[in-house]
Amino acid sequence: MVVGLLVTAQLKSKPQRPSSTPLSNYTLLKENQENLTKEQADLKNQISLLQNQILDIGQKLKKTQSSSRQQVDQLAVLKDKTGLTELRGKGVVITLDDSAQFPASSNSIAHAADMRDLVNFLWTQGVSGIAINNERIVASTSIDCIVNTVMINNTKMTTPFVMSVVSDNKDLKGYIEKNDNLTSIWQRVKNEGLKFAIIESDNIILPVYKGSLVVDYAQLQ
Amino acid sequence: MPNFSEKMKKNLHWLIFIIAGTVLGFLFTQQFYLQKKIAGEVQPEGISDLAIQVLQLSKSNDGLKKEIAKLADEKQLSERSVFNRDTAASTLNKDIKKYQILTGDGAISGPGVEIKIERKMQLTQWVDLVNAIRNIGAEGIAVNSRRIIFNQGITDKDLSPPYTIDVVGNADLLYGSLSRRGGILDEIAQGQVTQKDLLILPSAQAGNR
Repeated sequence: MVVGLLVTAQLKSKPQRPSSTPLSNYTLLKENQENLTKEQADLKNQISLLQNQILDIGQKLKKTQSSSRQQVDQLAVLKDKTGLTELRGKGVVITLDDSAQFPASSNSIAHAADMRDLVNFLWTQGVSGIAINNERIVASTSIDCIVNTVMINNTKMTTPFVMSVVSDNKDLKGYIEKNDNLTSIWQRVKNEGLKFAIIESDNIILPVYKGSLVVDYAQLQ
Repeated sequence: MPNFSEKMKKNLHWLIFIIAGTVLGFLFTQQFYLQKKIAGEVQPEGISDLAIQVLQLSKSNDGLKKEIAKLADEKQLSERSVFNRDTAASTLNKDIKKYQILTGDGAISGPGVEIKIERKMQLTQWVDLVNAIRNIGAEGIAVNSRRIIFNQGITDKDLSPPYTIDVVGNADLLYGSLSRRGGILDEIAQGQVTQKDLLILPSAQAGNR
């Protein structure tokens, strides 16, 4: 009887309809996730290519249509401000990573909220541009926590978070390190071993934003 | 001394006992590993988390495809502009306006929502709220008639209650997302959201720091 019970339990544990098991749903979702991630990278490359081609045409336009020269220059400035051109210069590289301590706690890991605070703080310091793990921060950017990963420009990323910042401010590193600023991060660095490093550099390169910039509802007055 | 048949009978009992024990052990082990596999790999939360990621990626890729289509049109128009002065002027004007909206270089108008919040909000709450509004797809944000631009940041000193937050974008989507029970606004500030057919937001330069 015991053997019979066990055999029954064994049979019950097996999926009866392979198409509707949690395992097959999981596999299907995982495959979808991988395919969509690959597709995203491909789409971003296509966007980058088109943006470069449009910039090249703009340069040609300046030569052939002299009356448009001023507009082409104005557009180039706006594209710089929007994050549609590469930005190079002096600045800092900030690395934010989970603490090595075990077991991990909510305070010992790097959160999307930490990066939001950091990005906001950096903009208030007048920096020229920011990228996190090679994703340029632009007008449409939001930094969100999706399960165990962080989504920036709808791109999934995980620790370590490397923030590249272009800024002429020579005191920027000092401002970031000041205890009065970014208090939540510094407290967790001290108490929980959260990793937070700032390195100055003369050669920061911020990539071009490769996502969508939708303006469907707003109109210029 | 037991005879041969009795000896055989005794051995047979042992043999059955050993076989039954082995089968039981096998079944126990199988059951244990199967349960472990199901519990470890296919937790219900695991599937729903993955589903959220797939949904986000799918939405993002749709947006990227639309952007590719727009850029392809822009490229075609730009190519025509190289040899046509009128096309050049109109294409450039259209692009300039789009990027002026994005950078805050000029006042904008459009449909959207107005959010009223009475209580004082902390800086981290502002950062989270503005981030959430951008995530919904805002095309322009102003707080107490001051434009909030991505590359200027928000400071404690900038804002004091009561707050009126004007957001230009898809009014239905903004309203639906922001008025959800347990949503970001409910969690942070219990604000009141109202849909608006027309909002006017100042340029980032007007009255800003």
